[in-house]
Amino acid sequence: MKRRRSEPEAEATPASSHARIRPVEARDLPAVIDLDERVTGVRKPEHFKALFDGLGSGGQPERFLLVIEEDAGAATIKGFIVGEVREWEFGSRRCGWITAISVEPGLREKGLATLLFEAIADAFRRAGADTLRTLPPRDNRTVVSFFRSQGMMAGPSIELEKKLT
Amino acid sequence: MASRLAIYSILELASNPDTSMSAARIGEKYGVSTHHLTRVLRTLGRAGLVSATRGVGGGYQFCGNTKRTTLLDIIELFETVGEPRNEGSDADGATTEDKILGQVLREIDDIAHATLDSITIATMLRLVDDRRRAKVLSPRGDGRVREDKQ
Repeated sequence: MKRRRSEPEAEATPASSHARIRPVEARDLPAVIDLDERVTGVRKPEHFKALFDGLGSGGQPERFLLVIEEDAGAATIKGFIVGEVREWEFGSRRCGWITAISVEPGLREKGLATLLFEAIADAFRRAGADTLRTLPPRDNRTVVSFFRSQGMMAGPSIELEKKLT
Repeated sequence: MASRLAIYSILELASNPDTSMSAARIGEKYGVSTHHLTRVLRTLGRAGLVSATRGVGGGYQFCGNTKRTTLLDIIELFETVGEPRNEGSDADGATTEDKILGQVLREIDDIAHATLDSITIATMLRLVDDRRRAKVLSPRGDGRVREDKQ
């Protein structure tokens, strides 16, 4: 979709005062899976079930999956964020990694993603991390621009890859 | 140089969207001639990013969208970011060495392109504001607050 840089600024509608962020619950999974499919185009039920099963367990005590909802009930989940605190991978000291963030496409630019970002940053701080990192696809301008808007800049690592087939 | 001036101009104007600012005032802050700056502002005007008003009290105003305009949008008004395709290492008859070097250079271009295209004017304004506030709040060793130096 072509950007319209001269399009006048629209009034930013703030996130609803009723928006609430909380850890994901089992009843939320269908809504989370559906939202992720709408955003990414790929349905991943096993991925999210595995994520959920690993939350708070001995193996992954510092993994977070937070949802944002308006009003009570799984049917009103408007976004989610996934992250975890890791240590010594790629030589990195303890830091929090955001591995996914999604907001209902029709509800963007209302501050919901910012609320999710700030909530997981708080969770990372409480877990002893003083740095937050992420690794979005370079061509996903929406997501990269969002992280930039939160003050994120390029980190010390560079992603490298090689085709094996 | 023109790209950099254009970005500075946009940041100045977008940070005060309700007021007009003259080229002379912007030029004074960044140490550039009004003549040079006027040419840059004219290009920004043709792109629909600034509007000009003549006469006493006139000047330039930002009329774009800070959340939709990126650094790449501004820079590409004045220069091409990265090596044009179908030239040099991509040309017919290029050596293998050309092609490998071209691949490396394209990697740099792609990263530069993606970086510039991901930073909006709104984000730049926020970064500038955060840095200024950090300077103001940062205590000196003697316990006094350091003055913001613009």
